Amino acid sequence: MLDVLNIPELGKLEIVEVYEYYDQPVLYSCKNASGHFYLVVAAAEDAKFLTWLCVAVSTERLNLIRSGNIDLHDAFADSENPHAIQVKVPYEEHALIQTNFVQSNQIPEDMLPMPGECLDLETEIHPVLSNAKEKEIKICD
Amino acid sequence: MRSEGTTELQWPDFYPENCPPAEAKPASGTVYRLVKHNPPRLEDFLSTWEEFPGRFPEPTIRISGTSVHRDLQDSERLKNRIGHLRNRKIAKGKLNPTLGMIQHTPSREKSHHTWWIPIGTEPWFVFRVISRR
Repeated sequence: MLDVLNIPELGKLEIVEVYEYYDQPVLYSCKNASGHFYLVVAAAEDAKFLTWLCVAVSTERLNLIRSGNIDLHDAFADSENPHAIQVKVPYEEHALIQTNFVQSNQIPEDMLPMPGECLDLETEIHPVLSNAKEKEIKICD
Repeated sequence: MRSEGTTELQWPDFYPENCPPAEAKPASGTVYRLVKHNPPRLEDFLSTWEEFPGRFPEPTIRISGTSVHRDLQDSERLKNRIGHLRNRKIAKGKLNPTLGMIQHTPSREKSHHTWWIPIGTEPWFVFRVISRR
């Protein structure tokens, strides 16, 4: 998986569910070794970097996001934790990845999903997440 | 470098075993690709493995391919959801079997396909940008 999942501050991350795929997973949930969940989206690109946004989510909130009760815009812009992690992955092979914390409510709009964009997945969160690795493998090989 | 069946398509050396997969079919029909350039060029058709050298432990079948949609609305919908794709242009292209193999690999966008592009081809010439943003 792309180095966006190698964030020292969060520990080793594994994808739980892929919600959007385009050349690679571009919107997905993941969790670290201690069981904390994160929502990740590919947020911006320029000539040097692909920039990702990563926010911590509780299982209850992830449930609401998956069901569409919280839209994807607010999932990032109005996150439970007021900070999001911005991860800039360089296209250049050996260039260092840059991570920094940003205020969720100050993330530029053009980096966020547009307001009103929602998932509409069934929301039996615990069974779904316990099977999610299998689902992700199907999607991503 | 491996060849594919009677069409003798030549695949990139980095492709993993069984790539393209047996379920893939000769490329054909109209597809839409989100591109950075107008007119589209080589960089718009790189796989993630090629675009991010050294960032993945190994090439998988999926990241060796290139995403396209059959349905224009799916490309538009994805631009709304994913910031990094927001400023991309939608290019329309008509594929033919000399341009590789393709498989229906639905994501949230039901018309999502993965397209494996052989070496020695220039698929950008069959694509035309149909939207500025």
